[in-house]
Amino acid sequence: MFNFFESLKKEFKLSKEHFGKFNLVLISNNFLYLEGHKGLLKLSEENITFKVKNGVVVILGENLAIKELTQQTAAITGKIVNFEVV
Amino acid sequence: MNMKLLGGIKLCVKGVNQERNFNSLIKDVEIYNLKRTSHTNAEFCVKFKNYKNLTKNLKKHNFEVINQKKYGFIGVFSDFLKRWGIIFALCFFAVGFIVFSNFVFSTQIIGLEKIEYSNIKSVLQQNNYVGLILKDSINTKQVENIIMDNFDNISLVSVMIKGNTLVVSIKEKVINDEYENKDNFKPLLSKYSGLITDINLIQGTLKVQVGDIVKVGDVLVEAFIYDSSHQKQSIEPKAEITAKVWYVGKENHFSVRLETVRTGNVKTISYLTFMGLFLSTPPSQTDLFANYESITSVSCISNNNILPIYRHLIVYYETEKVQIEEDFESVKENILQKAKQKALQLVEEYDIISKEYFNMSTVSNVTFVEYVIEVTKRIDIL
Repeated sequence: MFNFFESLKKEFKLSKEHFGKFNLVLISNNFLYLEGHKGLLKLSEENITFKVKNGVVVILGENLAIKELTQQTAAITGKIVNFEVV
Repeated sequence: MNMKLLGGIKLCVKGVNQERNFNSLIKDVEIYNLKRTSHTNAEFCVKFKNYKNLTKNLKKHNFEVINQKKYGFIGVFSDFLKRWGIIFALCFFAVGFIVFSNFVFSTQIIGLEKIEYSNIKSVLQQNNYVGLILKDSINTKQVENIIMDNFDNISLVSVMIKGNTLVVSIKEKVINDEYENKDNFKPLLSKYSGLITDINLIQGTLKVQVGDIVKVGDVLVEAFIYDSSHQKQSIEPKAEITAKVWYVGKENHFSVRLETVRTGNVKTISYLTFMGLFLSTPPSQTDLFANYESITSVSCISNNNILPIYRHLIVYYETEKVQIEEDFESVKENILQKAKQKALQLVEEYDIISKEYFNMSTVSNVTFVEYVIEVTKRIDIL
């Protein structure tokens, strides 16, 4: 995909541990990019839940849709009200 | 690459346990624009290259495809690519268009008045400028020169290629009447007999004058003139010559005359023939009247041509000569009308009658009546 996280790693000299589980980027409550998921657990317009290493990522909002979904990455669009890592 | 531009397939699927099934699906296929539309339905897009793979997986996971639609440029174009007929026709048309736009295959010749179209065309044909010709091989200047060299009576010619047509525009020379057909001029002759009343000479040498009486065929204008150096020049004679023309109807009346009249006695003879042979014995014609007139008629009595049987009927009317005495005055009007009708039959359409009169003369028992109709008309034309 792109080396955004690699660039962060290099810039802030972050270790592998920081990127071990999953990576998530939220942009302006309209777009959320998730890297390192283990599968889709729930899909609806108000709630999209992904399984991640040692937990789940819950994304809440309105008119949610998955713009792109691959085996490890997902791009979610819509009005994102809240997200939590459980 | 932008999915909207390249396109893909949008599917609407129905099934349960969709999350689990999508997790299995994404191992082989990338999914885009995934959205849950209802509890059992979802829609998403995939790329064309993943479609086959996807359909196998969908079946495996009991997904039912409710609807699918191609979108994007490639999506629309791919349908079009299956229509081999259209593709072939388009290619054929494109090739044909490219090939034929480099050829000229028709010729148009404009501006002709006296020169025949076929004459120009045959000159072009002799020089291979008719038919299917490559545009680059046509030298328009050369074509113009060829036409000018072959025809003396063309003043200007212009050749151009317009589309697939070779257009030849011709301007003929305007030859003065005096010099056209110089050697073939004939004198202007009178078409009627009459008394000349007016002359308007246009060109030529006048041979008559006002007051002359001319007959049909008399020379009115000669086909030559003498120029300033007294040289005789041939010229087409032209003039407008008007004359009084008389149309005469004649009738004769005899005060005493013999006329043949029928006495009233009639004899009829009839016989049949078949293909020229007599079917019945023709009656003898010995005991007929001393003076008679006969009327013969032949009719076919069979209605078909298989048996052409004809009936010949001859009717004999006995006649005798009787002397009739008739005073002219008693039949004068009748005689005059007859003479007038005869004169009127000679008058032509559009003739204007200027005068009518009659002459009568009597010699012995015979009265001669002439009815004269006078018209004034041009005698140089029919």
